[in-house]
Amino acid sequence: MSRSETSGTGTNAAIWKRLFIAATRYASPSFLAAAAVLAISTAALFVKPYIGMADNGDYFRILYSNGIYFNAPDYAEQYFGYFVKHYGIFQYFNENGATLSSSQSLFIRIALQLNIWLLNAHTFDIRVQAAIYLLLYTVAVYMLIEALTWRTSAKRGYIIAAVAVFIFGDTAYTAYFNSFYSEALMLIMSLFTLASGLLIYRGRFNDYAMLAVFVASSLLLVTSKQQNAPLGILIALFGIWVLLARSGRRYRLSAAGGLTLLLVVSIASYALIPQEFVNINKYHAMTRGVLPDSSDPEKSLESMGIDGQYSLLSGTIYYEPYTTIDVNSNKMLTEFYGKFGFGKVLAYYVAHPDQAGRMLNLAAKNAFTTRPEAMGNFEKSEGHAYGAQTHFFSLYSTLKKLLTPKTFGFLFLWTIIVVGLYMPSFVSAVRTKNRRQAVRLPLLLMMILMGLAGIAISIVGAGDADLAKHEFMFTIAFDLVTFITISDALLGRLWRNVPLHPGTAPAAATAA
Amino acid sequence: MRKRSGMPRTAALLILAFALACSSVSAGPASAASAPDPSAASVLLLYDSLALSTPREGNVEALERLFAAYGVPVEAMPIDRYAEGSLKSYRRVAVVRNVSDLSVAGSALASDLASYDGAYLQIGGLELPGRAQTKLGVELQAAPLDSVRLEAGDYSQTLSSVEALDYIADASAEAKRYGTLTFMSDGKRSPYAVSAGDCAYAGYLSAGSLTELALAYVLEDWLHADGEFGTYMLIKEIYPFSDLELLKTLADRLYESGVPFVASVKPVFYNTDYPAMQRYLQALQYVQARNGSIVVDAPAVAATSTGGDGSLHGKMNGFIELLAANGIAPLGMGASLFWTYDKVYASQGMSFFDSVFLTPNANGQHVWTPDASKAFAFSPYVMPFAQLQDFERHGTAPRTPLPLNLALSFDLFPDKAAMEEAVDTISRSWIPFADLKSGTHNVLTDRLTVQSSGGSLLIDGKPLDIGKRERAVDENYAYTAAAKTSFARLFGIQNQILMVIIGSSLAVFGLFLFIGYRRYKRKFLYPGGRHDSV
Repeated sequence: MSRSETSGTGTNAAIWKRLFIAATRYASPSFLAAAAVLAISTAALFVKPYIGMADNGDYFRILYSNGIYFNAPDYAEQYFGYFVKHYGIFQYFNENGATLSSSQSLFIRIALQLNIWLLNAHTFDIRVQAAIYLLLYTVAVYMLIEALTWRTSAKRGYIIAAVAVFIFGDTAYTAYFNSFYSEALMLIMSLFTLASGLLIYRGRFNDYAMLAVFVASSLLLVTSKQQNAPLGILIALFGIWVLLARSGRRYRLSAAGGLTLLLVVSIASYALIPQEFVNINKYHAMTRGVLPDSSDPEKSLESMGIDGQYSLLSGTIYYEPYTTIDVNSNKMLTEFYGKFGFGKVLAYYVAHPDQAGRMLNLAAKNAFTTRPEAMGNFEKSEGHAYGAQTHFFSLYSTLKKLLTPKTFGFLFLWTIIVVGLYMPSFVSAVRTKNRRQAVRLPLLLMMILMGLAGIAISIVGAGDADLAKHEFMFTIAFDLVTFITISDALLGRLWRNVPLHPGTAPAAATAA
Repeated sequence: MRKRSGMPRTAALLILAFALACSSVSAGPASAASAPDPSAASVLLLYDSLALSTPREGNVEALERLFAAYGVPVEAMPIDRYAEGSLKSYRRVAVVRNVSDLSVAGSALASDLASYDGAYLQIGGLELPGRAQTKLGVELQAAPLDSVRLEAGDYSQTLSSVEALDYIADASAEAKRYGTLTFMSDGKRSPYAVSAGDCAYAGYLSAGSLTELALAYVLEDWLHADGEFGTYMLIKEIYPFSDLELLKTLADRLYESGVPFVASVKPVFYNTDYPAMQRYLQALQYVQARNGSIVVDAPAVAATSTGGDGSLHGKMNGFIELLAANGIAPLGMGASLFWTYDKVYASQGMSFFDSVFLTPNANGQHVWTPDASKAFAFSPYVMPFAQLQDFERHGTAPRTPLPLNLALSFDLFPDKAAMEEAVDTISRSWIPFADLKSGTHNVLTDRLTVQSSGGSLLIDGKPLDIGKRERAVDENYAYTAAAKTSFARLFGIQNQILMVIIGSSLAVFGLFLFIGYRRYKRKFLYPGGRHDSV
């Protein structure tokens, strides 16, 4: 190699280095990750062909009570197959009462008002809602990456940012923003909850502000869907570590108040689940859960005080178009739904661990599917086949679906590994009474348990009906926890705590 | 609880048996032949209002069911949707006037009716088209709020506080009079209805009252329906989840009382090989052997599934063939009226049958369609038995012939006491119930034919032995197929060996960890030994 070539290479390297240094000054990894997710999602959601989610028949519950209706003449033909972006806005008194109470309504109403002010008073464009969701999501991604990469090596920070974009920019997630499914809100609020907890752990930003984000996002998450109501109890329980992260009466009172509110709201939203939903879930818990896999369905039914003849309903769904008995009839109310609760179903699985194991394995098969296969992503006008799904920026969700071992044993191992990796730093923080540093493991454990609870609630609450969609909480939890584990591994912080202040040594070196 | 008759049961049974023997001629079972040709042109039924939330609510639907009982298809629509000139496509028009202050004078319908020369029937209202007015020669008047006693056939009933009743103050001498209305306040009497030629007028129709039966006498003439009509006992709401022993006991009790009956049984589409299904089929076989006729009830349908998923035909076909394979001969169907108006339900779910028992719609089950309803050769008018008990019977033998096939219905009883009471009431009613299988009924599936004729049941032309012994239920049925295993014993031993190895490894690992920790503590934490322990 000649001297001039060597000198040229050296000059190039120097230029790249200078550029890198300049970039790190103006664009932190968190900023870059948020900007990239925003750009990719904007291309997916707001540039033709628009990506969204087809209606599986659930939209009417949330739409009509919020003053929006289906105005496409061929709407019924587009169920499951095509994404619809325009809806009608009621121009007269809306007599439709709320069939369910969800925090999602809040965002739909804001989007509706913005739509009326800025676009059209007669037609609602779902992309207005997607814009609101995307802005919030961008902020959530920024906070999460900031919590991980603040005051770390720039190179590693950018690698983490790239991984974050790869996972959280995936259209299997962001397509939900162009839909009326509560999964969009679950995704955003899960990110906010974990990110704000981690920011408290890092001591980044104002603790009170982060506590407010933690409580508010948890409340919105818990109330986004009836199925999430029990999750509030988990957050309130593990939130105690967030409460203990800082001493001071004012902070602790604020945290205690927030967590108590969360607990109360969680219990209230469980208690207020409409009876129709309870019955739908009870029906599926029995006919798609307990009965199909039972070696003697009649005996299983009789153990819960139900006539064994109802074994004929095994495997059927609530929405069958033609049924032996009206699923809402008085006979069903008194002889079937009235005979058992979810506690009995749970007790049944405890008493039949082999059957519970098979159900968990069945659940694990769907646990890594971010985007349910049943729903299409394109508008009908795009000319794609009925139910066609986009491949745009969806490598992560595709690989995850293809490569992850789909057994409950894997989920168990994953949990043990994650907890095992973070345990030394947690024990060390507890031993040294550094409570702020002890927040990380409880936060991750909270996410893991929320995901696993999502699976358990799905099985106990509705058998195998619509598992891929019911397990969305686990999907989020798995991705968030795995991502944080990978990031900490890259930063060499798995079993080490990070310094609270720059220049100080780690709070405690553990075991190693 | 109803008072029990003082007559000894055996005597009652003897008299009933005698009455039944006599009725085999006088009240013989009707079949497809007794009704008008079902392919006949449909009736256009126009109404000014459905009279929702008033005592007349449901009268339009009652009229639709009455027409269905005569095998006549109906095209129903509100008067304000009537399109000018469309009247000439119909040979028969029926108009229901429920609201006195909604006049049709000057409307397209009024002008079309002025030149209409087909058969005309009106229920309520004070305005009649010129031709009908001339033929009937009626003078119509509005009565103030009053209680009215209605007599029709062998029955009478007091209708309390009838509002806005339009009654026939006078009619031409040639007009035929039906029933009698007596006003309770002043004793004034007027005919319930009149007819002359192809024009008829009735003052009032309300669902669930004797006016249904009274109007049937008018329709019998207006539609030129002839033949003998029968009364049938219909037991509804029979599920595989019902008390099947109670169903068998009911069959025994009705058999002992000499009452032939029709059991409308719910279809099952899934898990038909389960023991629970075998028990259900056994019970139905038993019912059939006790002189019960089986009809297939319509499946419950989701309100939103009018479009269907294309599976209805296959499901119904499968269930009928399953019954036939188990020696049960379904002779017809039971369904709510709206099934006859829904294209999918009618074409996919009812096309197997020529005999259908139509029941009133449940709330909100109405189907709006401009198309005509599907009509059937044999379709008895279903009336709850409790409704008949509200009527006073004043006639004595011989009974006045019924104007239509009537099915008196019960829902399967909740317990034995309710059943015993009902059977006792049935026995004491002295109604000569007809046997469905004495008439001609045909059920045609993709692969086989089920028929009844003259009391015999035939499947693919072969007589069915209804006394055949029940097939035993397999109580050891294998619900879940056992997974195919290879070298199970070998792998069982292997599992045990592995468990021992893993357990031992964990124990050794734990021991090393413990020793390592102690050595670590000794070397780094307390290099000179623990002084505080001394």
